[in-house]
Amino acid sequence: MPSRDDSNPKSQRHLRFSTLLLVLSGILFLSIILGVSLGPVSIPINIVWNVVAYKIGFIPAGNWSAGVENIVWLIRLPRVLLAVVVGGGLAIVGVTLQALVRNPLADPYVLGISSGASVGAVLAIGFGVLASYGTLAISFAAFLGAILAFVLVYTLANLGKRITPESLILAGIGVGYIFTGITSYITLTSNNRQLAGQVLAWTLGSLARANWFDLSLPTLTLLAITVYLMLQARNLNALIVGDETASVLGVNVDVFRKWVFTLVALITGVMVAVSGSIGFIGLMIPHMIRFVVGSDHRKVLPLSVFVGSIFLIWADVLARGFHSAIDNPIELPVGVVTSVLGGPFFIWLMLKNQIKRRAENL
Amino acid sequence: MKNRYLIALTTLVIISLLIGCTTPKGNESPSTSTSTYPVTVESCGEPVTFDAAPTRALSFDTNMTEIMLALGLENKMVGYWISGVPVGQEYQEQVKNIPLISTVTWPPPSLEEILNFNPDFAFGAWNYNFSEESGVTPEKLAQAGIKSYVLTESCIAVGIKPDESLESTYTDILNIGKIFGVETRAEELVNQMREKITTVQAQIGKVDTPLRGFYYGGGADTAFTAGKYAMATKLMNAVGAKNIFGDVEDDWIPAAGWEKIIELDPQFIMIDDTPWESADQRIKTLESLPQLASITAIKEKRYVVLPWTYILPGMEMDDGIEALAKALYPERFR
Amino acid sequence: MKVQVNNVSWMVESQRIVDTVHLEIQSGEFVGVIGPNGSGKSSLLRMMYRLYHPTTGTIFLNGRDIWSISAKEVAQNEAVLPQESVSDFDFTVEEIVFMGRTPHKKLFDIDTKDDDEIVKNALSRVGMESFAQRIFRSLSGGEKQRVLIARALAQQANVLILDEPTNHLDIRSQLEILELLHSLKVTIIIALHDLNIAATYCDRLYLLQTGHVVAHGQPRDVLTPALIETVYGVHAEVEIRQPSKRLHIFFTPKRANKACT
Repeated sequence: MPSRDDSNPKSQRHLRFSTLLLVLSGILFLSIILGVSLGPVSIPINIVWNVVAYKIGFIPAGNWSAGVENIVWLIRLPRVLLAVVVGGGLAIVGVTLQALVRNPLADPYVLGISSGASVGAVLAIGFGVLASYGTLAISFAAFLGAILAFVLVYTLANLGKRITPESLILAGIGVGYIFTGITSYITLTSNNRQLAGQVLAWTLGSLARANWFDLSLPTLTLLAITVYLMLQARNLNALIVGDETASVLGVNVDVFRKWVFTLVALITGVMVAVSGSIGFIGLMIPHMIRFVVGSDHRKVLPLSVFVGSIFLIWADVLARGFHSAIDNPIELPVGVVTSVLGGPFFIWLMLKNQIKRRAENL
Repeated sequence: MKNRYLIALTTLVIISLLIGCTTPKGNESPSTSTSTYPVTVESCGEPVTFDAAPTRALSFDTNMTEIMLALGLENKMVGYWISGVPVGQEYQEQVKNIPLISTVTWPPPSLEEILNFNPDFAFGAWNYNFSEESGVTPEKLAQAGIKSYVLTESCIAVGIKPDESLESTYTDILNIGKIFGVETRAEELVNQMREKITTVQAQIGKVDTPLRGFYYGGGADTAFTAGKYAMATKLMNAVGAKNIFGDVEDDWIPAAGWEKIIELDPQFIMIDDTPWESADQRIKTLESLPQLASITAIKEKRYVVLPWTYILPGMEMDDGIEALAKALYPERFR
Repeated sequence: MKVQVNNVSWMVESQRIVDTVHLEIQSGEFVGVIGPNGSGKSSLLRMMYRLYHPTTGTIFLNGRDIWSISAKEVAQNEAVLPQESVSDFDFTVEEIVFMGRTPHKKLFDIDTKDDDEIVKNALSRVGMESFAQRIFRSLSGGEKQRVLIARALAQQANVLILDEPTNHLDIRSQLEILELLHSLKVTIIIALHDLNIAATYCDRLYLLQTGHVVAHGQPRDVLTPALIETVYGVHAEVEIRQPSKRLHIFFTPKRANKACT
């Protein structure tokens, strides 16, 4: 009978996982280096890293223009680091959410959180809400919108005193529709001819707002959440098998689900606030990882973070530089790139899996 | 003796007849059609034929309306629409008695609102008032028996490659003149504009190195700017300056990444002042982005603020060129 | 590990699914809970493994109210094979069995060599050690149940509760499972629909009807034709085979019954 690996003792599999982790760390590191070195403006790679070294304080100032310095230090490096954080964050949220609702088709946006963020964003962009916060206004408003959506979804899902996967999905989709409707209504009836375009661009997601200040909160959130979820990996495993199974293995299912949902909503709110709703990553990266290593969260969680980060770095490189091939300075919203890149790759992976399953007669 | 009177009388009659037949057309009021109909013009590459001058015309947005008014066609108009900027002072008297198609500045008037005026002609442009999404298109109007003329520069929206010069604006003015039988007036207007621009260019004189310019139409994550075929670029070319993106095969570039802009380091930034986003707001945005601090134009605060209508194809094009020239070469215009 | 169910009821929208039930199960017993569909078997079991909170009454595990201690602590003493179907996600057999260690793990605990041993032993106890890397979902019904029993063993619980584990299994698998359970040294509480199996393997039985315990005791005292007729509504004849003293129940459909008389 076909099997994944019959003669594979645990130590060997541990090694394989560790190797995978090591290899991915290497690829991530390399991606960061390349992501900062590449861009629509050609900068020699040694200059790029001399600028970084100088800014960190390792070497004295060198022979480059202020423009080049700003490009490397104020645009590229923050953007690539934000890609790491947001890519990893969205991926890990996707993994967790799919466990929470026991549905591989869930993504961070099915719970209505990003729709709430859109309402916040459109109010800030179109009506100057929270304008006193200056350039932070949109992010802050988006975050508040996300929290509002979360509170609504939680309350609705909890009407039966227990939050179940079904109640969560239904409440999320319902709230999502309402908020999307509000955003559309505001946009399409507005007298501001720029609003529709601006809101669309924001919704599709972009890392262009990356700056050193804005990196701290998402980074801390991602670290905290990853650590917490890794510690809860066993409970997530049990939960994803079934509510009853989790319960009899000692998990307080309702409390656990509520708590994890709250954290997931918070981190989604933070990510969406700084970069809009970048699609595909939360939905597909967990799938890809599970195809390769199965569903044990102790493997899926960290691998998803790495792959999500790497994926978003390269999606952003393409978003920034794709059109420079035809000498046009246009920058694409990164959400467009993630979908275009990810879709075909996922289909390929899915076909590969279908073939494998047919062989195993599942 | 009788013969002399007869000859004088006959001569007088003949001369009167000749005078009557050869009175120069320019003396007649513009409301009398002097075109030879039917007249055919090309609107976005499609021929449109007029059997007579339209009498119930609509014009959409400030620049199109100003062209109609400059040609003295207010008596042929039954309505007009502006997206926020009123027509210039010099046209206010003419436009006084023409109703607005819609008092809403955005979105543009709907098909229903347009049909309500029972027009026979519409002078508009793609992405000003015409768009596929809204359903208000020249085809749709044609189905209702309304002929349209579309601003040439906007035809890029339907795939017509635009030109890089100011000629298309002149063509539009001349075509409207042709449609309404006021060609002479149209030619006068075009010549006046050409003259003014030539004068300005003469005053500029020789430009050794073109100044590097950047058109900024707002945006923080990315910039709304102009490519080869946008009016903003044409203005810069006319005064001997150069748009840093002047070689990009596009008209307006809706989302340009900042990296290239920083690298190309513009020396001045052209900003249009619009009702939906003021030039002050735009300058504030530029100065709030730390990554742009190295750009010469921002360091030196060399912003050229122009009214929105100056960067549109229309009657204010020459004013735009003059304003830009004076801003860039103040010492040559004392 | 003694299990005591004291006057426990469970109500849903004013319907008494389980009505004042009292059970006492001693350490090491193999107790069957039987009754027709809708008799409240599953609900009773779910209260016993702390999934449902009883409307009235208390359930004691070794003298402690299971709701006064954490779910985790209960799980360290009670293992369950629920009726729940497994979700759409791929786990290996080994990963499933490893989940049995969850109740014993504190927040920062990692998997130790002891855990590996326990899991390995559990798998070999149920005869599935060569299936360790197989995907759980690809197994047959009987194989899956054996893996779940291994998980329960990995839990190192003294009480094992099973809700109709032999549904949908072929006869060979059914008997294999029961034999396996019989060989384990834990207290077993099992809901069954097959009366012959109940008769063969259980030390004692509780017979439920519409939420009440109508009879309890040794199989020969509970599985009488009269009781079977009353509760199940079918005619049965019970034979005690000698010398094994095993009970056999023969069912006769009512139609045939009429023909005989």
